[in-house]
Amino acid sequence: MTSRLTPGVAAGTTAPHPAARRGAVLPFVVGAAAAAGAALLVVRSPYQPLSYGICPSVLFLGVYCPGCGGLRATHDMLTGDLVGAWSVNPLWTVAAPLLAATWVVWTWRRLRGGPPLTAPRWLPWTVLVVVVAFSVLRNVPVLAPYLSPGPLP
Amino acid sequence: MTQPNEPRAGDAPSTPEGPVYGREAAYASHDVGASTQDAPTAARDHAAGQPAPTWAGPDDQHGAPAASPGDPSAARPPVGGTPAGYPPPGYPPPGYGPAPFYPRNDLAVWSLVLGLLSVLGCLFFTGIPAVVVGGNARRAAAAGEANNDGMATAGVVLGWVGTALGGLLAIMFVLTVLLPLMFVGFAVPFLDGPWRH
Repeated sequence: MTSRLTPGVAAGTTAPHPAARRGAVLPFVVGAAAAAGAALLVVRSPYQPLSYGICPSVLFLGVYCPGCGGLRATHDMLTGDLVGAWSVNPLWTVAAPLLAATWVVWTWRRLRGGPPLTAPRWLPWTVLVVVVAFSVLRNVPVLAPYLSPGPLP
Repeated sequence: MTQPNEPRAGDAPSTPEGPVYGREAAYASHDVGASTQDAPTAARDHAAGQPAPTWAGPDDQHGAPAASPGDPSAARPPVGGTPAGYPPPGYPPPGYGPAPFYPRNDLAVWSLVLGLLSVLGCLFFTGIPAVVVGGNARRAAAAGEANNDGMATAGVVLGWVGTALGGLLAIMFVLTVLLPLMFVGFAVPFLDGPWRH
């Protein structure tokens, strides 16, 4: 455990601040959880009918929520089908690699003891606007071929 | 202003602005050291347009600070005050020092965004994080690291509303989809018909 958390020491650079070593556990926990979810998605394909249940927003509200197609898109990205992922949920296809890159930077900062990763001020509002716009637009029939997740498997 | 500031004459009027008005200390320490007879003159001095920045900033470099002997209210000579007679400023003139920086203001913003998303469709997926992050934001505001406690409360409330919506939909899902499926599955072996294996 310590050897994994102090790669800087092994590489000959100065040891990271002890607090950095303590805070480096969380990114690995998050990464492990994400890797477990990704493994599950590859093994149990969401294209099989009812493999992950039924989408409640489509069933009860009749609208596609912004996450609709997210599981299918993740499965497609993990199996290399980017076009398929884009056709199911373009927002998640763009956001998932950004989140992965953010995780990498976060883990790097925690290990090296650098300044904590803070989001720019415009980020929460941009997220809100983009997600709401996406969830509205994907239910507009004109844009359905481009944004909607298509029929549920 | 006609009153000579003999108790405060210890201040060296090192500013080239000349005579010591000397009453801005009453403005700064009106709750501490200003004696009662100074209050009306303080008002008068301020009406005369004396700038009153005393609690931070470059004014400390002018004149003698509280080191004046026998002067508990730390009178300082004013900085460039002119008896122009304009009304007292509505807010402190520039030079009151750096604005306070709240390092954890982003928590409440994220809580509000997550709460809004939870109400608008993401339900408990962002509702639970909205409540958690909003709780952190309120604690940060209480600790003085943030000043947007109201926004944090809004995020928490919206997060709970979204979570409740999600809970209601989950109950509906169980009642209208899962239970009928279970009953159908349970009843199938007992039916006479082509389904029976």
